[in-house]
Amino acid sequence: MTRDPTPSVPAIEVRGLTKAYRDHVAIRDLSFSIGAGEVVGFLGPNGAGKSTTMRILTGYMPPTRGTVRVRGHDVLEEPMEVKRRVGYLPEIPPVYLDMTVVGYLRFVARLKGVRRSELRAEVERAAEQAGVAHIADRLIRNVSKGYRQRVGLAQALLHDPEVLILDEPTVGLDPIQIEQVRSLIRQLGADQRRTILLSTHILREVEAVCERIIMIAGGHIVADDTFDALTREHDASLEEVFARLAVTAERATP
Amino acid sequence: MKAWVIARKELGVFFTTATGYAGFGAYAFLMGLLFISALNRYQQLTQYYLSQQRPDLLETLNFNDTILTPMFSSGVWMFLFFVPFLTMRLFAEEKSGRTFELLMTAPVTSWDLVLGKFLAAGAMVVMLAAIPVAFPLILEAYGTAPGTGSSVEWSPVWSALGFTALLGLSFVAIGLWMSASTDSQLMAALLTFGILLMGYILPMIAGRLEGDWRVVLEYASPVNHVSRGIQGRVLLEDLVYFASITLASLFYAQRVVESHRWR
Repeated sequence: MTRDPTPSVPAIEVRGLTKAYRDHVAIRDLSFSIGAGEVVGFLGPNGAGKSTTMRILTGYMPPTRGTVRVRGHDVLEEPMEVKRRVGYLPEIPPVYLDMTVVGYLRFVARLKGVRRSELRAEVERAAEQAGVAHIADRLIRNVSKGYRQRVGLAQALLHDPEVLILDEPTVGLDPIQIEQVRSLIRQLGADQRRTILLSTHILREVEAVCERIIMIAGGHIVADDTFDALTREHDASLEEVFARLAVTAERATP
Repeated sequence: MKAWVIARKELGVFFTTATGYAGFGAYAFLMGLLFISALNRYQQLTQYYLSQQRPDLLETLNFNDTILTPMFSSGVWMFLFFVPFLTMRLFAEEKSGRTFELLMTAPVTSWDLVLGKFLAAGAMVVMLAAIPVAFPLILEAYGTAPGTGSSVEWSPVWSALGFTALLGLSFVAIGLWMSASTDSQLMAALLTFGILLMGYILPMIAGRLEGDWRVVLEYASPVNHVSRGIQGRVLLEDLVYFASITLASLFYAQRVVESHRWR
């Protein structure tokens, strides 16, 4: 794993992030900081701005205002430095239907600059971790939605990135697959050097894998705390906290 | 250079799906038809001049001017239909299939993407353009012209093949640019076809005009530039013309891809 020597630099630092589309504002003035090694759940109802935020963090789209730094590198000024450090699973797995699983993973590994001598081992490792090694030679067109999702996850794991950004990684999976992906994320997060930000609208998911929760609703951050602190402070289950905060935020948004 | 990684993937798609083989097959078949019809005409003229006892006219017939040049000239029209199919998916498919997000968040530049895709589609069009080399080889293997006893003169053939390839490369660059500009493959193909068709009909419009406009339109169309090359005349201005079209289109394609990072 390529690591920066200074662990004190936050893995992800977001300041005053705003994204306005032509007709609406998706996120307003988001600020948060995620330390190296944290596993953070990015929680919010559909349309809250989770995907937009993640797309900005990964350098897919620029913010209207605000800054994003990954390990101290500004995503607009040093996009290559950021992209080298981030593994990203978009909302819809970015797979080519006409490629085999292994062909696809090799292509992505080359794109990410994995050396020729390490290519085979690296692809095998990621495929093994995401649980797609046994379907390596199948065309992606012919594998189920759940497997496509896992191929997308394998792709994000290539080049062993220090920051993983996963946009709804368990959507479309069956209960057994969901449990497998969650345990994989827990296992990946156990590495103290790896930072994971995953978005979801499923409360159990954050409960199951995350130490910390950033809750957004209506484009605002409505809570940012550990799971325990959040439920203690509101003296309620996460469901109730979430419902209460989301409703307040919706009302506050013009 | 990550462009090569992109190019390799694109070539893989051409050859693992039927697209590549179907394209080569169809192009070879159609060029074959053009060759056979030019060959027939050549035979008819030969027989006619022989029956008329006109050795002077017979001497004007040779493989290059009577068979190959007409074949290449008609063949140039083929790219108008082949190139839009070749280039339509390059970027449009990535965008509609959501893989564009993968490319844009990978540590590669917009130039890598554009050049990689151009290299792949460009290699395909150069391979297409090389197919008709089979026909002068056949002529050389099986015959000499009865009037002069000459066989194929190769330098105009190389020039024709080279200019056909240059034309193809400039068309591919335009198609790439159009594909980068839309999410829809159909739209990309139609836009490319429209622009290329414009190039072919400009000289017809120019023919009705006089003065400066005529010169401008004739220069803008690829038809005259490629015709000279097919006749074996290699002029710097024609090389510059195709290089300019290609580079300008690639430049615009790169700007369009890069602009996605600013929306």
